[in-house]
Amino acid sequence: MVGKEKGTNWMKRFSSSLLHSSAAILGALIFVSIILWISGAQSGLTFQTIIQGAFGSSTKIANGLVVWAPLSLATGALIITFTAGLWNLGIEGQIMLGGIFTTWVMRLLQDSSISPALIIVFSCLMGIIGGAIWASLTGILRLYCGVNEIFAGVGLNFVATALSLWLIFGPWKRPGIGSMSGTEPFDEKLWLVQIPGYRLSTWSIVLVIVVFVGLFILLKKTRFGIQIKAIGKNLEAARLMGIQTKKVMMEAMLLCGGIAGLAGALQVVGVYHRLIPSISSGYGFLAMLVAMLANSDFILSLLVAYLFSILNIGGIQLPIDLHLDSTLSGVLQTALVLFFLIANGVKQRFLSKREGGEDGK
Amino acid sequence: MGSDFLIGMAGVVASAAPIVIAAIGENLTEKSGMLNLAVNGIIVLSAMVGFAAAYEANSLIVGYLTGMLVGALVGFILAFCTIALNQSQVAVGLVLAFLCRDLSYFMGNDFMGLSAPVIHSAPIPYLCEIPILGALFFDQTVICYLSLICIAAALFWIHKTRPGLILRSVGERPEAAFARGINVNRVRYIYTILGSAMVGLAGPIYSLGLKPGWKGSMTGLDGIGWIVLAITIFGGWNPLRVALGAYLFEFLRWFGLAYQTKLSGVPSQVLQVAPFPLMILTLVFVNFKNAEWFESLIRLLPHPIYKFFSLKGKRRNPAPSSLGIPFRNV
Amino acid sequence: MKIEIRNIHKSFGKVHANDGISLTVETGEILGVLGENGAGKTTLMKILAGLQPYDSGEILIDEKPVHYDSANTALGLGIGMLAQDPLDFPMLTIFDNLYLGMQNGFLIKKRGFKKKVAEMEDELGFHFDLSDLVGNLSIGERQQLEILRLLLFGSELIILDEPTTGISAQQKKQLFVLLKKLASMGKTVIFVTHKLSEVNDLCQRTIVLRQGKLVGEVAIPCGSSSLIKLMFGRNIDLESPGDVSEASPLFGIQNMVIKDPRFFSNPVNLAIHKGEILGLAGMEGSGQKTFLRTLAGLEKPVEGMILDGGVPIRGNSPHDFIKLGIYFMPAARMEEGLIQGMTLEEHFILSLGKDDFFVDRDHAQKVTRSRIKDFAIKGFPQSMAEELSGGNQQRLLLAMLHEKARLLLLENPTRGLDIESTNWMWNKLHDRCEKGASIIFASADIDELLRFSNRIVVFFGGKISQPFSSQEMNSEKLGALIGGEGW
Repeated sequence: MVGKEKGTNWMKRFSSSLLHSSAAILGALIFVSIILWISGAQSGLTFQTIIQGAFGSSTKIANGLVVWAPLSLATGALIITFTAGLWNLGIEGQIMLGGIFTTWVMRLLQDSSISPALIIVFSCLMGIIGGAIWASLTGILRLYCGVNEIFAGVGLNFVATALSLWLIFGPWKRPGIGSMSGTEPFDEKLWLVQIPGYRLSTWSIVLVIVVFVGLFILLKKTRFGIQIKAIGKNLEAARLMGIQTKKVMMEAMLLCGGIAGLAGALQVVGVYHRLIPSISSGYGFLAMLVAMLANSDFILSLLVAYLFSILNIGGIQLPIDLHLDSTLSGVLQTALVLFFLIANGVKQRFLSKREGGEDGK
Repeated sequence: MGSDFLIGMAGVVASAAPIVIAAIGENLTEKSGMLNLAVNGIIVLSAMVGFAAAYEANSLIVGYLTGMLVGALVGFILAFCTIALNQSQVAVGLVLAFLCRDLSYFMGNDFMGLSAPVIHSAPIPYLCEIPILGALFFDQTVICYLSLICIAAALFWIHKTRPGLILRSVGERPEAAFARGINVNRVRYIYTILGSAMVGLAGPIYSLGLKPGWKGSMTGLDGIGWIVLAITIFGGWNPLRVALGAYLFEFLRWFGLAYQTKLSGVPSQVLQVAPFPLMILTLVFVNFKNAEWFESLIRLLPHPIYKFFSLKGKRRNPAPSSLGIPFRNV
Repeated sequence: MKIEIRNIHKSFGKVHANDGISLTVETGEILGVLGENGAGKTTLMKILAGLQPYDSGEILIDEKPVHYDSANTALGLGIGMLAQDPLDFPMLTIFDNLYLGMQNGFLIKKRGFKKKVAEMEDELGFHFDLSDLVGNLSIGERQQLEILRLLLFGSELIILDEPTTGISAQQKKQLFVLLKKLASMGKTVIFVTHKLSEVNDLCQRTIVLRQGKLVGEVAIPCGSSSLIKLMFGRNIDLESPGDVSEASPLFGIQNMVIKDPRFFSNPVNLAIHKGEILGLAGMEGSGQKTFLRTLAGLEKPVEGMILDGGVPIRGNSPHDFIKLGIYFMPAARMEEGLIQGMTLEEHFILSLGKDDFFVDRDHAQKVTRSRIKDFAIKGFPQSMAEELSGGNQQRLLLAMLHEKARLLLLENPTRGLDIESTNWMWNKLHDRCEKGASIIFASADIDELLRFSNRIVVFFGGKISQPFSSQEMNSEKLGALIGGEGW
């Protein structure tokens, strides 16, 4: 009936979710093994290589966290738009624009006498603005021009890619000739401080934690959070209740774009130290998978994002050791989400059959 | 100049063939109320698998059939997850789109840079000698003829046959269709699988003809699926208009490339992605077309033009009413 | 066709919707099924039409036991049902709509089928333009179309579930003539309603359902009072309407023209007084809904304006109107009113909360608890809206209307509620009026309109009447106006 006790329920929910997530993982592993068998590779050896590639050395572990930070940021950003019921596939482009804006400001200021720390902070802020501007385009198209945000976002992703390619081969090309390796790297003093010997910066980890705490409070404790939840669940009812739906949805888009832009800024100041053609590294789409797998739960998102980062880093080893394409990690990641959806569906069917007698209608 | 233009137009007809077939396939799927967002992935994956199969069997037909099989399989997974397992059509569609793309890059690794059979044009005797029309429509590949047949067949199927009527009814009001003894979900399975198979045919049309070979992520197929989805909306779920949308799209692309030299100031990267802003703009246009202020604005235009764009007396929103909404019988 | 049902049981969770119902209907008979909302009429009819499985019992057609589990098999046995909302296809042509599910073969064969349709139309005495869209027909015409379709399919028993809800008096007359004709053709008709007069006009015999049980079987004609007693289990006294408040006008409507999907209305001029209850009468879809939505800021008037204390309102969203104290309560509870997957507390935070950034959960919980108590909602602060029963959802919607409200716009506020809950609801609403709020409500129920409103505005086919004082109004006069007579 209505409003049951929470404690026992939680245990039940936990064990059943454990059961169905292990089923999903098993399903994905079997699927990938079949793919590997078709490609004539040994699955045991492949998985071993991925794990070694991810944990084989302290550098590799650190590299996992290098991926984890922007991926988590992007996931956090997407949780907002997911809650508002928006499929913000344009996040990929929003990350890119964050990177582009950051690079732009750093190029302008790199020869000035302003202190490097200030330049980094300022260019990251501009990255946030860049991401938000790009997100606002999707928002305007969706809210005022009736274009579904999926199409608007995907289209703008391609435009963002073109923009960064044009910048890299055009106005910002390296002395001499532009190349796919990106723009001229920045001076080391403009790099985000790294742990000596690693590419990892503690600042990015701190940033992720700060952003996630902020988002958690925003979603659970503020009126804005409850409003976007209402919008995501029933747009018409939310409007009738007097929520300014367009304004709130636009704010959600801007916030998402801003955080995505921050992820892009981090890629520039903390990882690549220049603009490269694929500055977003596909983290936007990956974050979408993470958010789906974690069911928009903050803590779970951080864990899943870490799992996906490991797979990404481990996958790099595949072409080196086994002459397999590194996109295998992508296959594994998407297969995980697919089987998670399947397991969800099976569970729901099973439950509805069991409860059907009591309150079926 | 005239003959150059004609060759260009014949090229437009040829290169629109996969988009026409895929968009009509998606049109059929969406008519039943199912949204298949995996189109982009299906095209890339079927291009790769179709290419690999054609290479191994050294046979074009095997390549095309395998591509369709891949599409059908993905369509089945989509239908199964959304109908039987009650998952969101958007979520499953997107995941499948990503999965198919990654899968094709991973499995296609071994087939990079190989060459498989390529389709050649097969002029239809006598008909190909008709001035202009002959060069445009009767001096093409068999696949291109198939795309033309698809348009007519889909129109006929939807409007003149009983299964077509059933398809329309399921997309419009599934609960009413169910009350008349129609197995709504079976219809949705069938058209999701059929539509996806047609989308799956588009892949090998590229890899065995228009863009021969498999070059991994450099093949340049990523993104076409989204255009296909947009064209379906642009065409208002009417196979003829959908096909016209595909030709218009290819024409604009050809126009951009043909006049690239004259617009030397525009960098090539910009022209390459031009289809995507174009796609967004057409969607904006489709939406504004439904707005009243647009109606009053175009009333100022000459009558024939006004009549073409006007929606007066036509349905304002031609989307199948139940598109994307699951159906469960009691 | 003679149909007999024996000891039918059907439960939804704890609710026994049909509790051992037995019944026989003879060939050529028009049987009335009376009962108030929630008495189990629709469930019983859906069981008969194969739209709903039953828990136990037996159905016999012409003395032979039959089993069916879908509308289609029921249709095959000759049982057709006309649902409250006709199950047809507004976006298809009338031809396609009739053809669907009827014929076999691959191609659509127009000529033969058209002839068949024309023959049946001649027999029934009405004609359709087969190339027109179903959506262009009125509800009454769509009912005729459905009956035509069922007859084409060879139905021998036709069930009509509250068919007169959305149609005009004229159309109702036509429908009754048609139904009597069907009976004379040897078809069996089951007619579900909650209106006594309709049973008296049409049926030879009626059964009365109350709380899932068959409580009486009466030959017609018979006195209304005994039927009322059977339906409600007691006598109900109809109260007289209250006085028109002579207080100062609170809101004004000036030359307002509203736009419904089908029509533009005539310009409306109206003053709404403090504490007044204004009823909107008319068959459903006559513009009341659009009228309410326009006043709530959900639609724009084509012309004219809404005045608040003499000043035109310049908002363009519900948000702006709510700020002015204008609240709208939609009829579709779970679709437009409440949010599935959100708790009662969250509903109250959204609807009653202040404009603070951080939500004060303690305060919210206090508010929620007191509202739950005041409005007798069976639920807890952390219950989800969809876990409540229909009646409790309606109470929740009412509880969500802010005290600051100065104008309440209610769309069918008591639909689906039993008499008891309706009275309770109106007590609550009267409290609001005493505190100075005005109410505009739409209802399909003539008795409710006459009983509770100070003034009544009638809607008919795009026309909006001047307000009538309900003291000078009676049910015959109002009924005629709703049906388009006496304008």
